[in-house]
Amino acid sequence: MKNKKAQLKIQEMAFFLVAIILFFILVGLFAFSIIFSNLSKGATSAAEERTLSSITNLADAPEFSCGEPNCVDSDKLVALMQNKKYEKFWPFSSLSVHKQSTFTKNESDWIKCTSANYPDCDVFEIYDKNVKNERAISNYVALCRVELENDYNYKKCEIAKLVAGTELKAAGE
Amino acid sequence: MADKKSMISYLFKNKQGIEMGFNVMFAIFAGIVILGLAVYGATKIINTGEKAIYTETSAKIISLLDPLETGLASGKSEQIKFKKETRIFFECNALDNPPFGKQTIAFSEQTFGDKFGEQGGAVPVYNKYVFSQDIIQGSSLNIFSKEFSMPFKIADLIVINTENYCFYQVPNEIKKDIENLGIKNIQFSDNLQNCTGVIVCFGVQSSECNVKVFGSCEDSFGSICESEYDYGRVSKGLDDIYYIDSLLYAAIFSSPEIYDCNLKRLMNKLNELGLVYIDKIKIIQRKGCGSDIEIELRALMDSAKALSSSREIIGLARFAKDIDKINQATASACKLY
Repeated sequence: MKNKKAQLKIQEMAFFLVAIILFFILVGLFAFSIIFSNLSKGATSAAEERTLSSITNLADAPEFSCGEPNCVDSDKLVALMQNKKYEKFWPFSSLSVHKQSTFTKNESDWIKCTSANYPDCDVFEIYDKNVKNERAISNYVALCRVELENDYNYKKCEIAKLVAGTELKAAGE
Repeated sequence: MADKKSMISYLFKNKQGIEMGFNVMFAIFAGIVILGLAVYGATKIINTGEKAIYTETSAKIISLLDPLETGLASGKSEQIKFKKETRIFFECNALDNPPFGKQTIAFSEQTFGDKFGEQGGAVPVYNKYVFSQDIIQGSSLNIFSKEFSMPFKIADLIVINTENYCFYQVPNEIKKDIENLGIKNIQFSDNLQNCTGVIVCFGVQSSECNVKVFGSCEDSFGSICESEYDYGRVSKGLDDIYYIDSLLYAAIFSSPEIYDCNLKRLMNKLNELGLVYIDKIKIIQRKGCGSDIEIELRALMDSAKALSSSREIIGLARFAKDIDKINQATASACKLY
C-alpha cells in the first residue's frame, strides 16, 4: 500500500515537472514571437526610412543627374535600364521614372521605355525585384534630354516622378 | 543501555523521514534546473534584444548619411551625438556584391563601467563610400562629405571620425575648404607645441606628426595643377597612401585598408558610370552631338579597372584631365556631364 502511494507521488511530481517545463516553453515562445514581430516591424520601418532619405537625393546621384539640382537625365536612364547590376546598389526593391504622360493615362496604357521606342514612351523601369509586398515612395523631378531642332541642340525638360519601392517584410520572412 | 537500543530500533522503523527527504531533494534539484533554464533563457532574450537595438542603430546611422549626399554642393558636414560612449566597426570588401563591393557598419555602446556590449549585427551598405578607421570610439561622430570627380562625379566620399585633429602648416586652400565645411574637431596651427590630438603635417618631416601629407602636383603636372596638394601622398607610419583631389581627406582620416578597398570600389563605379556615359554618347549622337570623348573615356575605364594600388591613381588623373578638356570644349547642350 505504502509502495503504491510513493509511486503515485513520483508520478504526480513527474507530471507537475512536465507541466512546468511546458509552461516555460510556452512563455518563451510567446516572448520570442513578440520580439521577432517587433524586429520585423523595426526592419521594415528602417528600410522605409532609408528609402525616404535616399529618394530625396537620388536625382542628384551621378547615374541620374542632368547637371542641375533635382534633375534627371533621361538619356542616362536608357543606359541604366539595360544595366541589371544596379539592383543591389540602391536600397530599393524597385525603381522607376514616370514621365508626365503617366499622370493622366491609365496604368494599363503606359508604354514601357526601351532603347527602340525612346523618347516616345511613358515609364523608365530601372529595375523591379518583383517582391510580394511593397510600398512605393515618389519624388517629383525635372526630366531632361538632348533634342535637335533646326540644327540647334537644346535640353528639353518636363516634369516626372521618381518612384522607389520598399519591401514590406512580414514576420518570419 | 535499554534506552540506546530503543532509540536505534525507532530510527530503523521510522521510514517517513527518509521519504520526505527524497521529495525535498528532488524538488530542490528540479527547481535549480528550472530556475537555471529560466535565467539562461532570460539572459539570451536580453542579449538578443540588445543586439537587435544595436543593429537598428547601425541602420539608422546609415540613413543619417543620406542627407550628406552633396548633390551639386562641394561638401557637407554634420555631427551625431550619443548619450553613451559608443564604438562603431567598419569593414569593407571590394569583391563582394560585384562590381560595386560593399561596406558594413556595426554598433556597440558602453553598458556597465568600461564594458562594451556585444557588437550588433553588421549592416551592409552598397551605395556609400565611408572612409574611417576600422574601429572608432567616442560619444559624438564628426561626419563630412566631399564630392569625388574624375572628371565626372563618381560618388560622395563620406568621412567619419571621433578624434580631435590638428592640421600643421596647412595650405590656405585646404584650410578654407575645411572652414567652409564647418568641421568642429579640426584646429589649425603653425606651431607644433600648440597642437593636440592627431597631428597632421603638410610638407613637414617630423617625428611629432602622426600623419604627413606631401603634395606632388607641381612635379607631375606642372601648369595643370591649381595647388601643390591636388595630387600627392599621405604617410602614416609605414604606410604610404596616394591621393588625388578630395581623396586627400579620405586618406588622412581612414585606415589604409579601408582606403584601398573603397578606392577599388570607386574605380569599379567609375567603370560602370563610364558604360552609362558611352551609351549616352550613342544616344546624343543621334541628335547631332558628336565628340571624340569615347576613346579617352574607354582608356580611363580600362586603367580604372586595372588599378591595383593607390600609387596608380595619379596616372589616371591625366586621362581625366584630357576628357574634361574635350567636354568643356563641347557645345553646352551636348556636354556629356
